[in-house]
Amino acid sequence: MKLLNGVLILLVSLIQLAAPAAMIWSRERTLREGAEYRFRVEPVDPYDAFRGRYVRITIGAREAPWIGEPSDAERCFAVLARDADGYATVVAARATRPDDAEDFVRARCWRVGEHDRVRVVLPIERFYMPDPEAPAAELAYRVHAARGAGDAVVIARVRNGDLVIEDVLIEDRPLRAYLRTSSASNPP
Amino acid sequence: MGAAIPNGESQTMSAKHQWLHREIDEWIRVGLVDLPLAERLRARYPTEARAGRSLALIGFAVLGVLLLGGGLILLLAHNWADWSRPVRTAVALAPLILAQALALFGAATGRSASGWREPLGVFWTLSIGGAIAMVSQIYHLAGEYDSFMMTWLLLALPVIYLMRSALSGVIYLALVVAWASPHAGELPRALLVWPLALAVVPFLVARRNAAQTYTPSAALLRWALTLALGAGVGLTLTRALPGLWMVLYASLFSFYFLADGLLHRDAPSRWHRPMRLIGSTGCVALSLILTYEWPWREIGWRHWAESRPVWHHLLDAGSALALMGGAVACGMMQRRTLTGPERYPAIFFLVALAGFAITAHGGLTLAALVLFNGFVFVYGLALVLDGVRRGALGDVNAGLGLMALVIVLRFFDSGLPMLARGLVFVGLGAVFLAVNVILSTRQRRST
Repeated sequence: MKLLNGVLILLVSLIQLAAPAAMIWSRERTLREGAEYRFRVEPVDPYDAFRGRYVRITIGAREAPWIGEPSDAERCFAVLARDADGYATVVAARATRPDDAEDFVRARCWRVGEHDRVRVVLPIERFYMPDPEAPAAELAYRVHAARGAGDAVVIARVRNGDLVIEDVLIEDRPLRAYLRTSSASNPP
Repeated sequence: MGAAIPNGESQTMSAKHQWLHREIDEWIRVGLVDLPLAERLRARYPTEARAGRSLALIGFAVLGVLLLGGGLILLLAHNWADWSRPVRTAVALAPLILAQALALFGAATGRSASGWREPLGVFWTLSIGGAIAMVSQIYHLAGEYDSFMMTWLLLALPVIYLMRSALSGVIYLALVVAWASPHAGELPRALLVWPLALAVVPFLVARRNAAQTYTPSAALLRWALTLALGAGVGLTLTRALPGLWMVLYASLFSFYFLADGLLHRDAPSRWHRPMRLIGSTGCVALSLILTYEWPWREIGWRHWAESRPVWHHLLDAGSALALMGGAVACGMMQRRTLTGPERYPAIFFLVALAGFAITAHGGLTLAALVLFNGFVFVYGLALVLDGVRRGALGDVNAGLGLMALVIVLRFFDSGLPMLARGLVFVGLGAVFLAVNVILSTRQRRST
């Protein structure tokens, strides 16, 4: 009975570890091997009771042409490319998985008027930061925006439909580094 | 309510258990029973004090685990941002791995005391959610509440059985309701609440054969399950036929009350009978609600939601029929043992069905209002008469309170002047006091 109980505990433990392990493995591969994309964002600061303080990243829904048969399903694949300025843009959306030659992300789509265009929402919502720094991130961005140079960028890696955020940049500097220098040069 | 175990009988039961415990001590002394058997007997017939002490010990152990875990998290969070991703990932998984290692250690060394199993079960269950949440934070994953909760509760379910931890079951049921709540009315997804909630039933059934049926933690789990199933009825109600909700809930409360009579009639106290308490209290609460006019507006076939799929209608009707059938079956099995005021919660679903039928088909709202006002008043009167007969002051007061509540609510409804209302309240208060004085005097004379 003891042995059986021990074996069952071991088995269940492995299954329980498999869930976060699968998340970690997939995201680590994407960060190591995925293509880099830059997204323009507007950070805001709410609170997630389960996971702590984060900066809400709003890159906005993008419209894109729909490829393939019309579908009412919300889940879709967004094909990415870089625009003339080097920023990420959604060039198409489809219900079926694109081939590996294209960079694509699992997203949500809603029809917009005609069947051949959809609004695409990418899985970029939040950037977690230590509790004391998240409000400062929002404040720093607003101060920065007030100076008329309000562009913030998310650096993300894309691979096989997964998208993992690497960092948030303000004035081409990582957000935490920007906060440190902006607080040093603008003490309260 | 008064139809539950009367105060006198529960006090007698506790005294009997205390006598038994003293006898068990003597049996150990003369070698009649060994210690493991003695412990099983004591657990089977707990005294209120012992049950309370046991629950307090487990509660303190759980609190200690939660404080320890919370403190560790705060200490780790202090330097969190300065650590590399692999280090943060390792720290995120550490509590879960620790809980699993402790569980293996306990299995290997044969630790089976509830003071070990319950706190570890709680820690293990919470650490699963903590690990998933922290990994999501490390990789800035987009919020998917639904998948997060579902993953957590599915991975937490085996912990209940592996650790034989009722408190883990309580947390699990809270997760089920938390997962299902945003899906209220969303069918068929919301229907998952039923298999998920009922997944703890085998754990409770297995306890019925051991000396663990009426432990404090098992009682907590029964409370959680009773409340979760009640929530499930509301979350999966399609509302395709307006007004059917009153028949559904009435049937649920009657079924709870009657099923408890079959399953837990030998429970040592009211605390171990959540189905009876929730059933009888629910009957009273719903009856009082149905004495108002607003629930009876626009119900019945003339107002049914035509745009809903047919299976929605069938689902609600099927649920109501199943609960009514269950109530009838349980009632028939106890028809000779149900006494006095117990009959009122037992037949409540029939009264609700009659009220719904009268209003839905005939539009006779006034008749339904009279029916329910009369039902509540007569139920209160039955409690008073039964309490007077047995000398149970608590039941008498409960019955008087119910009757007074109906009168007060109707007075608030009416346009009577303040003087009249004041006189009635004074009269009711005088009746309360007089009955209490008379019965107290009678009890003192008889002891």
